[in-house]
Amino acid sequence: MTFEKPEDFYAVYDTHRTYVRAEVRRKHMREFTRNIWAPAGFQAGHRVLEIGCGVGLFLAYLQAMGVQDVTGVEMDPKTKDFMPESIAARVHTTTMDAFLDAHKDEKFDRIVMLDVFEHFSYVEGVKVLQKLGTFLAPGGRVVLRTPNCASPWGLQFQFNDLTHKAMYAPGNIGHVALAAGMVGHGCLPYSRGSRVRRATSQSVEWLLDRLLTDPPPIWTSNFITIIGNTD
Amino acid sequence: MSTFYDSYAATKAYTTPDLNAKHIKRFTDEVWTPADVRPTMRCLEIGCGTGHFLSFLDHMGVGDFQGIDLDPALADVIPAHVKNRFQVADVHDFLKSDSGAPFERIFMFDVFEHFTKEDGLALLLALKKRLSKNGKIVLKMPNAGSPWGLQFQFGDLTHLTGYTTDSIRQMSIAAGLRLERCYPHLLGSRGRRRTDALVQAILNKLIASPPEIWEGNFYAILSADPSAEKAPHDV
Repeated sequence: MTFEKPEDFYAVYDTHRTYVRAEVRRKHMREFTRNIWAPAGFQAGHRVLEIGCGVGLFLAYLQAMGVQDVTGVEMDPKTKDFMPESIAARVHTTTMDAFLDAHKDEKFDRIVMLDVFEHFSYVEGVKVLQKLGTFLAPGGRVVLRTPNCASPWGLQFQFNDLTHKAMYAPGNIGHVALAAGMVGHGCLPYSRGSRVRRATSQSVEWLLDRLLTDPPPIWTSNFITIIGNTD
Repeated sequence: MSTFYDSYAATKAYTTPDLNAKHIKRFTDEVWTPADVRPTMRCLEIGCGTGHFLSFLDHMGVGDFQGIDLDPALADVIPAHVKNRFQVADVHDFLKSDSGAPFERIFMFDVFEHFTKEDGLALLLALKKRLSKNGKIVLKMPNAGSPWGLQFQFGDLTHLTGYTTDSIRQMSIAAGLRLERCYPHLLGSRGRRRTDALVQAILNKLIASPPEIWEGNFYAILSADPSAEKAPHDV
């Protein structure tokens, strides 16, 4: 193959990345509930689509939270080897566009993209949101997790992957939503680590907020963005 | 190529470098020892700049080494004793024209970030063809994963790609090379390094996601990978 664009690095993605079997532990339950479920208003009766679901950890979490109607899309076939059977049955091994084109009449209450949106350029990102907007049920939300390029701690997540094409921060991701004719419902920190580590981290951030003239609006290395239609 | 290279000499203010005991120790600790360089090895430095490292190789008794750079203005400042080792050349043109033995060590300091991801991979693939069986490529670049690396990454308009230890590994895999190790480029006095290490140790304990390497720049040593006979992008 010829090598002409960042996407061509996907040819070695399975060698570069480490696959871990999706087993939802207590720490995952707490992390997803704190950072995604609660702030994005998930409910057990929701219909949820995850694009770029990887080995299916978040889908497994949703099932553990009682969400029955979950669907995943993942273009890497190797991920299925690391999925629980109950999840694998709900995951389509294909591209986002192929899946959406084949399910044009479907609506979802929540569409989730964790560590995926930065793989699109800004222009591609606008088109992705425009397309996803047509799949949202009334009151539906798109939930994105991206590296936080406004934070010094986010750089390693942004630059650790040669297939990343866009850099997002709380200050610019809303612009992409607006360009797509949608509306941002907020950017929120995505906190990781033990309770003690989160407490010390927040203490450092609190102190820096009082010492620096221009602290970032969100310090955590990744952040969540919630986007909806303008209805 | 970026038009900013037209005025590169003016922004960098080239001067002929001296090689003193401090420099010799620094190059020895940072490159010579970690990359296991020996005087008998055939060495190439790509983007050799004013020839500081070429002077070091000469001092260490390396008999067969060559430095290349794109900027003809450098010919006036290269130290006289290594001037015959310097050539103004594009790396791909040089590799095509060189008919010598394969290189055992290839060095690129503050160079690889000047290429796009795609061109960087093409360069590694071209270098791999001219690398000896046990050869190594030694890179130094800004650490885009550290907040202290930003001033180096964004301090030059001709920088086109930001790397972390993880993405340079991704690049190595794509080129069919093996990333042997990454390690920090330590700057400053012994006292400053101690305080720096202390701050890092404290931050590592306090914040949730500290970078793997805190220093503003880091080294990466890549070697021929016998298990990857053909890289995914080899043609």
